[in-house]
Amino acid sequence: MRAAVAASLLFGLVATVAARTAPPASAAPAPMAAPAQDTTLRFPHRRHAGLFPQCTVCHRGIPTGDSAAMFPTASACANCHDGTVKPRVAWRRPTPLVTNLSFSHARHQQSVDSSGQTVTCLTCHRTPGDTSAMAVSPPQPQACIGCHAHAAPSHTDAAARCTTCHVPLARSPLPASRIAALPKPADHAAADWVLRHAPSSPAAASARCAICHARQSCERCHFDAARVPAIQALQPDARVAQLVRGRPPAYPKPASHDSLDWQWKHGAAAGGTNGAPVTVAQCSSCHVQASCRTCHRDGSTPAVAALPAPTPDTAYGVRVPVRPIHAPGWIKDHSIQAAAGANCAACHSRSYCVDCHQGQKAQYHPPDFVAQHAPEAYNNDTQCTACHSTETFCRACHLRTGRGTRARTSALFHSAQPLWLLNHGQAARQNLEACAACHTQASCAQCHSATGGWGVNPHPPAFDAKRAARNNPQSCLACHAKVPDE
Amino acid sequence: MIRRLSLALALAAWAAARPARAQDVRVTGTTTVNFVQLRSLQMDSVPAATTTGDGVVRLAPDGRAVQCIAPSDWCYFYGNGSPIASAPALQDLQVSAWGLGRGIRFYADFRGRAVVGGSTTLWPQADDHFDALEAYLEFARPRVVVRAGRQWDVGGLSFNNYDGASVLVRPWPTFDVEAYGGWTLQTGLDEPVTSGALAAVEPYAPDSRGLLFGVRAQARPAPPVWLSAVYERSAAENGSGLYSERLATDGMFRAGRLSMDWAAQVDLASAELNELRGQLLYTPDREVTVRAFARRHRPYFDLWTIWGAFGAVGFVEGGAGASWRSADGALSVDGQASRRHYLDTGAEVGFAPLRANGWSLAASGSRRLAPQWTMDAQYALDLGFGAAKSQAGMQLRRALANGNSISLAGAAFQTADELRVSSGTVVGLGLSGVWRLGDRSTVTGSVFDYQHAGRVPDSGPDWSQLRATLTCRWTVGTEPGLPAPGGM
Repeated sequence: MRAAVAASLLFGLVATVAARTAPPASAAPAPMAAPAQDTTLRFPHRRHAGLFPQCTVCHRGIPTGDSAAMFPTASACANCHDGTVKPRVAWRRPTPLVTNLSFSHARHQQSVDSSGQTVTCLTCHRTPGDTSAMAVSPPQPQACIGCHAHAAPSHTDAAARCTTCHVPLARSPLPASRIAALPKPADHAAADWVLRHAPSSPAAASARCAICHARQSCERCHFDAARVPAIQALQPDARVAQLVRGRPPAYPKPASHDSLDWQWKHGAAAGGTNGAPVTVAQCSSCHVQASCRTCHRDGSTPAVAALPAPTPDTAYGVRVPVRPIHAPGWIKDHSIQAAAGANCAACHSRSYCVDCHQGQKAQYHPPDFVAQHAPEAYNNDTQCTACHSTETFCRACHLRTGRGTRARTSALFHSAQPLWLLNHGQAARQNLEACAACHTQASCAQCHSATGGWGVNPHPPAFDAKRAARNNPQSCLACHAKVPDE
Repeated sequence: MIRRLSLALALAAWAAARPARAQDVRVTGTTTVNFVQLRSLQMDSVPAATTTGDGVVRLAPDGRAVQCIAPSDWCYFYGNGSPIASAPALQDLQVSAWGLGRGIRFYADFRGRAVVGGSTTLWPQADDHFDALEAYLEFARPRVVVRAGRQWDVGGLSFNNYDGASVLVRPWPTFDVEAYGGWTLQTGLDEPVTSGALAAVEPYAPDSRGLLFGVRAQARPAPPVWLSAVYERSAAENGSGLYSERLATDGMFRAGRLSMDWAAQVDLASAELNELRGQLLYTPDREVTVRAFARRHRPYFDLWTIWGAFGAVGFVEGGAGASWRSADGALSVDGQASRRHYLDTGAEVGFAPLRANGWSLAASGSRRLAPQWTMDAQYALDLGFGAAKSQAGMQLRRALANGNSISLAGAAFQTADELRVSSGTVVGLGLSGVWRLGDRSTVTGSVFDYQHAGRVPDSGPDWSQLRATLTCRWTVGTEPGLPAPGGM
């Protein structure tokens, strides 16, 4: 047997070490290392205002869309900065910006702004508040909003039509680090945003969500993504997949879940009671079967069975922590309440009970309980006999440790009562279980038997001997020569 | 026989489950190794001539009370024996095999025991090296569940296992009824009442196994109402008499912030009420719960014993308590007080009656000191006619990464047991920890040392002891409806 236990222990250790050495299921994503784009205007436009009356002198490729001619060449600067007229300069044309814009300078050259004026370079590039010549700066999104008639008060406002200026993320060349740093629309910061973020249609998802999000953005939380058209309207994207990999889903908590009695009402809300048809569509936005099986272990609850079961490739839904739904002190009261077996089974498997009840695992009682259990046994708070046999558990141990006796005991054991022989009747009737934890029936029968003892009658005045005989005549014959007549 | 059958069933289920791809097995193993120390009591003596006083009870030279019965030259007392130590090891294996056919599952909970050091008799059932706590075949459909084999009878009457069959029918989602029957097993023993384990400690043990029949019904007519009742009858297999015939019922009702639950146990054969308990809970807000309860308790005894003829009376008890926790959950306190009064026994000695009432008081609190530090403290006072204790404890817990934790605990208590004089205070200090190894393995361990200080020599049990536990729990396999390891 020792070998078996040792082998099992070894197996357990091997299993735990194997589990320990297995790669973690949800490794954190590696940090992105991509420098932000430098959009600083390094050319001192103002100092050259007298030289260049028009932008197109240097940026002649802008109106035509000729990218090679959008910036001046170094040799053009060297016309003046030759070391004689002006000091030499090291001019290098800026690297083309990587953006998700669908902007076309050529197209805007032929447009008019919101006031009916023809669009010029300064319409977008003028430094705000500065009317001097060649006071230019990179354009801000607000400049676009000022002309494009979609009534959006700001660039990231919910009313903005993103597709006017931006291409969907899947078509943009932005690196993952830039995607991660995309500005967050104001409405996304609202506390209840996640609860109401669903687009009205797949087209709406394409029009707005797709600018910053890919399918994997949604799949991180939506384990049922494959069945949601708005999510399927988004393109998958490897950069987004890299960003969300390993990031745990973040689920919001509806206000209804905070009510005091939500734990009692949630079954009805899920439609799983009173024979109502199970309508768990709303629950299944965040929950899967596993969410419920934190408590509903038996899986027989219809609403639980109606929820989707995720696969290892999908999000796992809301992790529902086990909550203490029982009142304080329940651990001492539950033995009788457990009569409602179905109620227990709604949350617990039978093996859950076994964990505490069947055996010496020190999970139910504190480690020093053996030294303190006598008061508990006397007041029967925890009903020892619900789990332990008075004879084979209590008495067997008390016999082994010198507390119990198979024969008549010395009255000195109960040293707090010098008149124990007189007092023991009251003690026995107040808690006979405590007596039986140390004394055998035969011990008591040495005095209380009508046949082999002193004939001391232990029966109370109202004792129904005939009923006792009907129930089990063998117990009568332990002390009497015959059973009472009917 | 039953063990062999259980083992054969387990092996058959395992073998049958292996060939098909859709079938699966989940095994949870728990290995527990304990170290326990205890000092037994043993009768000792001193020469009567060395004692002071006269009469039956005298004082020995060292102050202990001894019993002197003339004309013996010796006076006797119960003293503490030498410390006994034991290191029992338990191995539990819970096996669930499904996919044997639609709705068919085999479930078993096996336990192995062995003593790996020290006394081989100190730990309960240490000489019983193998037990099948559960081993049944289950056929489950949404409205019917049938089980055959060894299974638990979990209910308000008992927590017993039995060898037999059960049929649960759920005609409506809110109502189910279960009938079960078979051969009874002794509570906590997994052996019939005719086993040698009972006969070894009880000369009047029955000579016939018990046949069990029971019916249980549960109803949830509306979400805030739960009701249940169970009737159970056990009789000697040879027809020599009843072993028990009992009824239990309980229920719960919630109305807004008020909830009420009640329970009752009745010994139908003896026409005695064994337990009646009611509790009211009021939750004015999320932070506060107030409760009050009343209880009537009378011990229950199987009919094969003679104890039922001794006229046990039991007690009535009432109590109230309240708990509060801060909105952020960082601080919580709970307190409860109760008083019980034993009913008239008709056996009191007029000039020296025993105490016929008792008090209990309990308070506990928990404070999160920092995100990873939590401190818990408890105090309990229990004063009764047969035993008393005053106990305080405190734990400091540090939560570590990945669900691991380590705790330092201290405790102090005083007890008086079995109407014996005792003195001194037991002070204990311990360390415990939880170490999670991946998603499916956990190792827990604890070691506590207790020192009994301030004792008058041999006036009571010496509770100085060392206790340690090391548990390793692991799971292999999957569970239907749950993601694979690492997924959740």
